[in-house]
Amino acid sequence: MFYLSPRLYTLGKVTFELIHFIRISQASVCIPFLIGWIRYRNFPAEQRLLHWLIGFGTLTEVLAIVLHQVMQVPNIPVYNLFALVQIVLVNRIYARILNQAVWWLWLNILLFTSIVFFLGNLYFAQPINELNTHSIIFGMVIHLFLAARHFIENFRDKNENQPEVQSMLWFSAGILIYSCSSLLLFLAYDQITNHFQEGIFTPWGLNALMFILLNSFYAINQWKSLPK
Amino acid sequence: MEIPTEIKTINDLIFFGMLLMLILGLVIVSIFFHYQKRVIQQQRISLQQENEHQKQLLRASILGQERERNRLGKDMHDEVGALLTTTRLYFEHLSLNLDSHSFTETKKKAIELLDLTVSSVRSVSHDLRPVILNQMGLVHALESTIEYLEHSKEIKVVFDHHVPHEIDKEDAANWFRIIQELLNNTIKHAKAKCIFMHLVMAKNTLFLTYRDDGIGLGKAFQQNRGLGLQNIESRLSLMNGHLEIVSKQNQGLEFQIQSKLKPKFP
Repeated sequence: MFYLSPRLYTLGKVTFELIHFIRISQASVCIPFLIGWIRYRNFPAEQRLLHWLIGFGTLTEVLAIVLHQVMQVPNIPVYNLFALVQIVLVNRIYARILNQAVWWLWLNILLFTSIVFFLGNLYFAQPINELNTHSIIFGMVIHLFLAARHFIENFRDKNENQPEVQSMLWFSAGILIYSCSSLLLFLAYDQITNHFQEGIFTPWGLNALMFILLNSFYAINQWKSLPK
Repeated sequence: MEIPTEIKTINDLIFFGMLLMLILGLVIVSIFFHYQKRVIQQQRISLQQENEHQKQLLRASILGQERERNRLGKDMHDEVGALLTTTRLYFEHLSLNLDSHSFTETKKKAIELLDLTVSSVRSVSHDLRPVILNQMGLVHALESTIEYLEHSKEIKVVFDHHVPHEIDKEDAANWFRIIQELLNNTIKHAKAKCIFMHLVMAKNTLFLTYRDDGIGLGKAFQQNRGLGLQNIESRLSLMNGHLEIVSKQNQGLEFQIQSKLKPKFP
């Protein structure tokens, strides 16, 4: 056997594990990021905000892999911070696409409440090195509500463009489907992992699949330009 | 380490729960996209039909104008033109060489012809724009038209009205033409003996009930409206008005027409 230096060995292990489904799921975030990178100049504000969200998502996954595989340290804090970034950016995206006359104030209040909740949860309930499921669940419920609201407004406003053409509908569809399905996972996460650390494995696989689906919707959003 | 059975069960429950929610989410989004597409398609069809209807009304309006111009041109040529030509001949015939009796006769005939010409021009001008409509208003213009109709045609017209104040000139002109068209249609096609008209103004809206005892509208006519009816619809669309037709074969024809009136400025 050749002797491999520790760094090369780690790189090999990482490369091997890329074939693993979870890694494919993590890598899928690069696709909408690259599409958005190419088309960024033509984007209106809401698509640019989504591109930033995808960008932070890509950075999170890269950091998570590096921390876990290379540096052998827990990568949970990275995901917790991303949860906060996601709450803020999704709020700002919906502040632009929902009826501003009606929703401007409520979304600002929601943003403030979300940040306070996140910081409060971090300080009192779930420290940074523990998966902040409370904040994630709180964020998901809000995202579900905002996505549903977007669909209702779109239907009520009798938009003349076909729904497939409207890029932000794809964003809301992705958020709705992902939040719908992953909410149960995060609701049950604490109960199971408190008793048995390796308890949830199959659902994480499904979550990985839904993350790929979410990134597909993001990719379609980044590909489509908003109708004039 | 062996995973406890209950953990496995909860694991499976969460997995199938997530799968169910995923399917539910996909179904909701698909239904929305599909429904929205259908609504947009229906809106487009409706808009196309409305545009087509507007084009038809415009076509009818233009054809109506052309028809009217042709008729006026024909009247001017056949009546006024012929009379003036004949008058000219009489004036040419007038000369100092004629004896007194012939001169007087020729002069008398020339003057009669000129009177007929004046009467003919007055009639054509009345058709273009009845003076009485501008001076006395819609109700008096209609009464004058009905009086002329009852004298010249064998038809009785009952005109019942309650219009407490004058209406805008443009609205008055449109309403006059609408009622004129209805009367002309009855005289030409309906074989009616009696016409009943009830004109009422209430809450800034003018309501007309027009009824005759003629042969009614045939089925073919009801499906493809004639030029006259299209002209009426065209005028009503300008006034945001509404037309309803009630017709039974050989049991007469009834129109219910209404439109909001423009405020009349002094």
